Amino acid sequence: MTVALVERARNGDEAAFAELVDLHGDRCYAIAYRILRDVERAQDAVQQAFLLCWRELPKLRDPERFGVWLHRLLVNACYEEYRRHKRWTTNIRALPIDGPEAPDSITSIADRHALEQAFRELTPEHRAVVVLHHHVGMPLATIAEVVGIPLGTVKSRLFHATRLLRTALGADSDTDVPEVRPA
Amino acid sequence: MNDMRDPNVIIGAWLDEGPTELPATTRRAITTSVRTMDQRRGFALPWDRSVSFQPLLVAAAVIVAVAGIYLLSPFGRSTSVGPPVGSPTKSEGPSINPALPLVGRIAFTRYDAEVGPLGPNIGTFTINADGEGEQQLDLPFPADGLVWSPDGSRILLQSVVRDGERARPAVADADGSNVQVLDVDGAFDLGCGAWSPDGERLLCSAADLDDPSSDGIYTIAADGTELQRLTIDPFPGVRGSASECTGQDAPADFSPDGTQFVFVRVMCGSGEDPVSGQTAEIHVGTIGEAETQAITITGFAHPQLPSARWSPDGQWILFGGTSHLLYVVRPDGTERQTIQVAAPSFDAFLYRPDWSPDGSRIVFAMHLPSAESTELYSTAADGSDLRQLTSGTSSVDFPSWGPSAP
Repeated sequence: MTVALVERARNGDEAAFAELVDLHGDRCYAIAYRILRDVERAQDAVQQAFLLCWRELPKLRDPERFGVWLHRLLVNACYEEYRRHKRWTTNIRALPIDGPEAPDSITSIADRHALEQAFRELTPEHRAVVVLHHHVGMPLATIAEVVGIPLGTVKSRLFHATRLLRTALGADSDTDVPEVRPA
Repeated sequence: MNDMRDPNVIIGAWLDEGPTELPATTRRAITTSVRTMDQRRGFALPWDRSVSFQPLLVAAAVIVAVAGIYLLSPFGRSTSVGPPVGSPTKSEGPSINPALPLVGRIAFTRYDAEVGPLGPNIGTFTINADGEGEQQLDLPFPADGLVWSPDGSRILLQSVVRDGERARPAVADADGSNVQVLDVDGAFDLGCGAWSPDGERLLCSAADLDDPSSDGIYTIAADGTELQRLTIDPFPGVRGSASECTGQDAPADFSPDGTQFVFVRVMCGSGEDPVSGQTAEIHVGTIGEAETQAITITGFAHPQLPSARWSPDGQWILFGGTSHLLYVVRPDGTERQTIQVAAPSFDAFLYRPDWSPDGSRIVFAMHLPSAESTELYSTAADGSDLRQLTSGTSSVDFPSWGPSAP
């Protein structure tokens, strides 16, 4: 279905592109929010990614690769948004709150706070790898393709980022090796 | 370790928390922006990129567009002037006092085959804030938009075109008399978009496709002297086989205290048609400092309708041009909010908004593709109380809301 829509959108079919936005918008937004930890900035990044997508779509040679390509645009838009926002602010922004916490959540308030703080220590490049791996469940080889880095670098970033998060939870000493989902 | 306390499970669960549904407003903004990008390619709208410095070319394009509209559609005329349109929708943003009377005068440019001082296709008009009392200014040159001086005693003609000469701004008395073209040295085109709060200086932009070294934002004294450069445009123009894109730092407005300025940075696309790939972002700069700060993401400002206006109280910067919404953002780029205007349809396109002198209302041009009309409207600063101000057979642009006559 996506391939057919991509073919149509590539030829300038706005309705097909709108369907692509409907199909992929939620997932893109979920990823962007988790990388940027900010609702507004995530919306900006998604919008930026889709506008670039529309502009550059005629250049996409293989519609089968649309998903990976869109994720790459999104991750790059998140990087840009992160850096743009960082230039403006001096750490005065409060942590965003997005609705009530689920009462049966397995993460405690203390865990959330610790993870939020630790996650904000990560660079956007590390955040992207963590989100694509832990939240999306994307294979490491695909992450390498999306992010545009060698597989070894993906593993390295994931190792260091996950260690930081685990340490924040009090689970690891500095020398423990975290579990990484198989590629 | 108990699985419920497995750190990886906790990390995964924490990452799964949070929003997962893209807001409908963002979806609409995306699809509307895409439609706008397409309109630029397929239909000669009156706000072609060349508007800034080449009004005659634009006027020609508008004649074609208007003629097409009339041949193809029963529309083209608005039904009424004055009464509120649609249902007001409240949004969080600048506060208003709806009891304030409609004061001041609004100037605008009309693109029409039957009006205009010299060029047959363009005219500059003023109306009262309630839409009544329309008058055409008798100007010796075809001119782009008009901007009132802070005290309303003079007008700035953003750029005028004279045969064989570079585009230059001009100033005139409020009734259009005593026009003085500002003779500024330089092989570039120069257009200006705003008066300083004291009325002494103008915020301008230079552009030259052949020599982009001069491209950027400038300020000059209102008599054309004391040219002072404020920005160096890092994005040069691009010539393609299908279009020419000048790129540009387009002047928008001074801050009310005169220490800062806002402008729109336009970046060209590439390939055969660099105009179709243009994007833009809004920047704020401080007089005397080289570095400027982007206050919108790329693509959130319209590259062919560059405009932004600083609120009279200095708290907000207003812009439109990407959808059926208007936007305000703090001068530091934070707290961007939409002004939900009760536009008649989602395909409405709102552009070049300007504040009333007291900041209680906003005037803007609205293009309605379904009705094939482009007219001026005003709304309270929170988006309520939408009123249509003009009604005619033409397209309008460059609204500027000035004070009442001194």
